[in-house]
Amino acid sequence: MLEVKHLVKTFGDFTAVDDISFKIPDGKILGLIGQNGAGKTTTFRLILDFLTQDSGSVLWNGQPLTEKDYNIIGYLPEERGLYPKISIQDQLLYFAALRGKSKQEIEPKIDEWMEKFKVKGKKTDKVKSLSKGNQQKVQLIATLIHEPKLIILDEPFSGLDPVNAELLKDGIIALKDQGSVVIFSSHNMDNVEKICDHLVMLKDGKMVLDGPVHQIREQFGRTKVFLESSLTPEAVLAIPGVKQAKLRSDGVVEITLADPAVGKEIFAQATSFGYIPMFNQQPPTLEEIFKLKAGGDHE
Amino acid sequence: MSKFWIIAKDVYLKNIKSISFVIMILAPFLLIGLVYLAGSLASGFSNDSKIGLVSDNQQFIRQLEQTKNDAFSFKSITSEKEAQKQLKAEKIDSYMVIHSTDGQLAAKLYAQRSLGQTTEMTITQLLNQLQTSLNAQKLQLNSDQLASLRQPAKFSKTKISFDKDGNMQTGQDNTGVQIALAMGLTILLFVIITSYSSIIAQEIASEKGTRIMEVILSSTKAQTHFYAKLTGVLFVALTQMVIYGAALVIGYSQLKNIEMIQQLLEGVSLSTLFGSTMILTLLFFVLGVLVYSVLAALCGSLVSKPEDTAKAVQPIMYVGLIGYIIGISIGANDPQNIVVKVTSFIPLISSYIMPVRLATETASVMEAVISLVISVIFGILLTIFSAKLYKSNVLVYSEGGMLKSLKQSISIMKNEQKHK
Repeated sequence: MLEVKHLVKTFGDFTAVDDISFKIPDGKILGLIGQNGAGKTTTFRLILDFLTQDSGSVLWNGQPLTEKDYNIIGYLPEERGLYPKISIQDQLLYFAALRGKSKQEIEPKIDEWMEKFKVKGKKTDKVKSLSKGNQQKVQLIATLIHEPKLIILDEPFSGLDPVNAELLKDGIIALKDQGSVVIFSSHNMDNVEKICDHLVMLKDGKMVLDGPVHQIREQFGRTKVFLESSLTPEAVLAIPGVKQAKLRSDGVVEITLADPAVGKEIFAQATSFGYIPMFNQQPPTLEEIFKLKAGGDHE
Repeated sequence: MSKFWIIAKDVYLKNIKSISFVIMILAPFLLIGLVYLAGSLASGFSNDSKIGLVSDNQQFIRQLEQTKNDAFSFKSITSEKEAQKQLKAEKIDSYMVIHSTDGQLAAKLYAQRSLGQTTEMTITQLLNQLQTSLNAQKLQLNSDQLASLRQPAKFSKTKISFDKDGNMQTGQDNTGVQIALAMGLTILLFVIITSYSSIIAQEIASEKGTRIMEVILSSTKAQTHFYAKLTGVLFVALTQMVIYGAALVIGYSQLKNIEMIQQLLEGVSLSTLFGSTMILTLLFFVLGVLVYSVLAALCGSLVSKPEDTAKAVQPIMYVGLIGYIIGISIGANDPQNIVVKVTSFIPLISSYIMPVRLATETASVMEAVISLVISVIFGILLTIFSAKLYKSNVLVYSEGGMLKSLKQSISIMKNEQKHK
C-alpha cells in the first residue's frame, strides 16, 4: 500500500505541492489529473525521492520508501527516452538488471511482452529503427517487465492511438489484478474514468477532487439529461430550471439542468405523447468536471 | 552483481565496442606511420640546391667543391654575370661571391629564397674552416699546428648533490632523459584528457538528454550512477593504456636495433625509471586523468542535450591547454620562472607543470608531494561536490547555458539539504 501524507514542496516562493494526501491499497489504481503545472510530476518525483519534501511523508507498506524499494518500482517518465543505438532486447535486459532481475529471468519474457503490446519489429532491432509508437511500447515494457509492485506512469497514454491505448489499459489492469499499486497521470478523462478506482485532481499544487470516480461525479448531481423524444429544444428550454438545451446532430437533445429534480418534469412532458427511445439522466462527465474545476478561477 | 558494476560494465562494453574507440586506438599508429611516410617521401623528392661559386681565387672554389653534402652542392662559375644568367635560368638556386683581401675572407650569398637555417650554418662553418686555413698559411703553420688550432674545447657536466653531512656527491645527470619522459607523459596526458573528457561528458549528457536518467534514478542512487559511469570510462582508458603498453613491448623487440632508440636507451638507467621523480610523475599523470574525468562528468551533467557536449567540455579544454602550454613551453625552457613555480601547485594544471619541474630538477620531492596533496584534496572535494550536485543536475533542463544550469542546480541542492 502506498500512503502519501500531507506532502508539501516549495521551490523558493513557489509552492509546487501543497498538502497532498492519498492512499492506494494493493490492487488499486489511482488517477492523478490536473492541468499542466498543477504539480503532478513534482508529486511523482517526491514519491520517488528525486526531490525531498519540505514536510509530509511517503510510506510504502507503512515504511518510508528508500533505496531498497527501488527494485519493486516501475516508473515511466513523462518525457520518453531509450538508448537509440541499442537493440530492444539489450535495452530491456539492462533496465531489468537495474531492477535486480537476472538475464535468465527476463529473457524468456521478452517475446511474451512484445506479443502482448503487439510491438512491430524483432527484439534484435535497434530502437531508433522503430516508429515512435513502437518505441513508446518498448518503454512501457521496460517499465513493466520486472513486474513491479509500485507502478508510476506519467502520462502513459499520450501519443498512443486508441488501439494501443486499449492494449495499455489491459496491461495496467492485468498488473492491478496481480496486486500491484498503480498511480498514473493523464489528460484523457475517458481513460481515467474507465480504469481508475480512485481519482485525485490537483490545481496549483492543491487537491481539488479526491475520491472514487463515480462518487466524484455523483457529488455534482445528475444535472445532465440526454433525451430522444418529440420535444423540441425550445420546448425544453421553456421548462423552469433548464439552463441549456441543444439538439445534437444525432437527434438527441443534450440538456443541462440547474437542479437535478427538474429531470422529473422533463420526463413527464416527454412521455406525455407515449413511447420515447431515450431518457438518460447523468452526472456531468469527468471532462466537464475537469473543465469546471480547472477553469474555476476564471469564472 | 551490484548495480554499480552493472552500470560500469554497460558503459565499458558500449565504449569498447564503438567504432570511435577503435579509431582512437589506431590514431597514434596511423599518425606515426603517416609522419614516417611523409618524411621518407620528402627526403626522396627534395633536390639538393646548387650554389654557384664565383671567386678570383680558384683555391677556395676547389676546396669548397670537395664538400659532400645531401642538402646542397657547389658549382664553379666564371663570372658574376654568368652566375646571374644561370640563376635566372634556374640552373642554380643561388650563388656566392668570395673575396679575400689581406687574409680576410668575405663571402656574399645571393639567393631568391632562403636556403634554410641548416644550410646557411653549414656554409658559415665551411667558410670559417677556409678562413682558418688561410690564417694558418699566413702564419706558415704545419699541419700539426693547424690541427691543434682547430681543436675544440671539451665540455661536460656533472650533476652534484649534497648529502646530509654537507659533503658533495657527484652523480649521473639524468635530466635529459627525465625531460623527454616528462614531455612524453605530458603530451599523453593532454591527448587522453581531450579524448576522454568528451567521452565522459557525452555519456552523461546523452542519458540526460534522452530522459533515461529519470528511469535510472528510480532504479539506483544518483551517486552510484555517477561513480559507476566514471569507473566505466576509466576502465576504457585503462584498456587503451594496456593496449599501448603491449604495443610498446612488441614494438621494442622490433625497434631496439634502430640507432636513435639505442642512443636514447643508453642514457636510461633503471634508477631513473624507477626513481622518485618518475613515480611522482606517474602519480601526477594518474591524478590528472582522474580529476579531469570528474570535471568532465560534472560539465556533461550540466547540459540538456547531447549535442551540447562540445560546449560542455570547452572549459576543460581551455584549462588543459593552459597547463599544457605552460608545462611544455615555459616549463621546459625556463623552469625557474615564477609563473611555472606558482602554477605547479594549482590543481588541474599542476599535473602538466610539476612533472616538468621535477624532470628539470628545479622542484624538490617535498614540493611535488605538497602539490600532489593539494591536487588530491581538490579532487576529493570536486568529486563529492559533483556527485551531490548530480542528483539535482539531471532534473534541470535549462536552455540558458551551463552557468545558469549550475546556479539552478546549486539552488535545488541547497533546497534539498535544508529539508534532509
